[in-house]
Amino acid sequence: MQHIEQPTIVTVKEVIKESSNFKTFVLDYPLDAKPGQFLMVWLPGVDSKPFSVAWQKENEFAIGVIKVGPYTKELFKLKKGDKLGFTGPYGTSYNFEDKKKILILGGGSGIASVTYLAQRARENNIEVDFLIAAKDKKSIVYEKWLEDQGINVIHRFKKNNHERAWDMFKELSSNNYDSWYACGPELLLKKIVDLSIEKKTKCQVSLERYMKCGIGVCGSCCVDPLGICLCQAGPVVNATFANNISEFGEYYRDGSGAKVNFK
Amino acid sequence: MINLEIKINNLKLKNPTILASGILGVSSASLNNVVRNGAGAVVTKSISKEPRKGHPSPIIATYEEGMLNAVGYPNQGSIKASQEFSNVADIEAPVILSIIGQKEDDFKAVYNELKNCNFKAIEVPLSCPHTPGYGTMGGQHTPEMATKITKTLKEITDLPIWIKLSPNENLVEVGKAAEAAGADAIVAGNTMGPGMIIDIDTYKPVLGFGMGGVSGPALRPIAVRCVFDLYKAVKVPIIGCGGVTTGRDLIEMMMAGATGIGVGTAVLDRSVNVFSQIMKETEEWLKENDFKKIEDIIGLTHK
Repeated sequence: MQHIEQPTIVTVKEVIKESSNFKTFVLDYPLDAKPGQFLMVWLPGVDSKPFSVAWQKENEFAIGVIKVGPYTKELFKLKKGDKLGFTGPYGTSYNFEDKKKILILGGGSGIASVTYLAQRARENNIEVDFLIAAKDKKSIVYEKWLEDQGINVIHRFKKNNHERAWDMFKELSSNNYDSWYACGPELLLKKIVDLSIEKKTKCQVSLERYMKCGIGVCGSCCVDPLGICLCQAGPVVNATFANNISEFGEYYRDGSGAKVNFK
Repeated sequence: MINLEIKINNLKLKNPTILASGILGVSSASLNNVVRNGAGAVVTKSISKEPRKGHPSPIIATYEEGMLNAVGYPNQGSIKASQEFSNVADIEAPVILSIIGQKEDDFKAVYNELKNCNFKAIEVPLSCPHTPGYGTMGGQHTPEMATKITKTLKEITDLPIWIKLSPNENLVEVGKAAEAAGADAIVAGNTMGPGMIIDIDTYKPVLGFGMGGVSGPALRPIAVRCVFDLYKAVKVPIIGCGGVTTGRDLIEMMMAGATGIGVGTAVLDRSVNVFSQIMKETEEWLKENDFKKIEDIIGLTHK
């Protein structure tokens, strides 16, 4: 076989508690991923799930995890010195190298897909405005980490600005950005994509589908009506591509392949 | 022009390649995408009466010579599947329904739920090596079970019934029993094993289920021998399946006696476009060797 798919085992170097249910796991490995790409993170005997790379340095990288179910509950038990496995990196990445000024939105666990984009953008001296979409003040994560890199962070709990993320995004979008990037709740992504097409602004979003194999074989992440696997054609797609996916903003498929509607 | 068409039962395929069940095939759109990439026919992921979530990940691991999988038959169950696949007649190649069950009534129930979806044949795997209650783990790979399940389906449908066998053992015996019970074609075969890959740093099996069926190049010579043996034992068409990755592999399997060729694991190494690639390579070989019809190479090794 040309592709050997077996996990690489890495040691947890540090666990950072970002909020009551969000942790960053720093892993001891010189990963070579591009912003937006993901890994299948393996807990031996438990399961393996997709995670974007939250940031990457020369000899270490991180994933950001929200505690949502049995798998992440097990993952949250890991401490410094414990081991886990991964395969990947898989999938497409954000195009940003030629930009001067960009707008990024990150929401929910999706924020840990665009933080790495923000890191690389700053290393390329690109001006970055970063809008965090969060329900409440205590779920704001990575604010200081972003600011330390010279990124302008905006969210509704700053300066008593209580507008919804979408309203803030619309307002910001009138500034002249070379491109927008977003990862978060899909209904919000859909609005952003539609606005980018209307305003003819370049835009890339990262979409989440049920990924099991990561290598385009099992079909669990195939999207209608194209029938292609988002683990390879995605997770990062541009606005036109996103709107060619008829289920975008409408539904996704669960682990059995059944459709589940976005509310 | 070389004629690449083949016939299996009453089905005309534009070429012998058939998407093997379990690879892609989750939705109508997914099957359609495989057909756009050159497959002569496609088989759905196996459908059970009730929804199944499948095994935990990793569901796939590969090594130098092949692939292991333990996907565990995830599917949305027969009721939702009948909506998902309601329009398979729109797909420009025959679509084959793969049905799994434990009791005979399960097979009946799935068929009845999906009988108006315009499937062109039914495939029944008696041979999955890594799902408790089904296939080899469910004791289904015996002449007795092959007879029972084939007869059950033959009683309620006129569609061709294809029985998918295990390369592990009893293949010819079970194949002959299925043919005697009315099976219209034999698929030889499923993945072999199960096998196991252990991660030596954590001492744990890599696959979520621990073990999984072995496919890909490691399986190919065994699958070729299975087809060769079966060709001498049954009269119904054989669909050869196991490790076919290139045109050369397809030609070899047809010479052993296969009419149709299942392709699955090769999607990993050569992408979903592997069907077109295999057929392009096959056509070139046929041209160079002065064959006008691909049908003329079926069973050549026996002549």
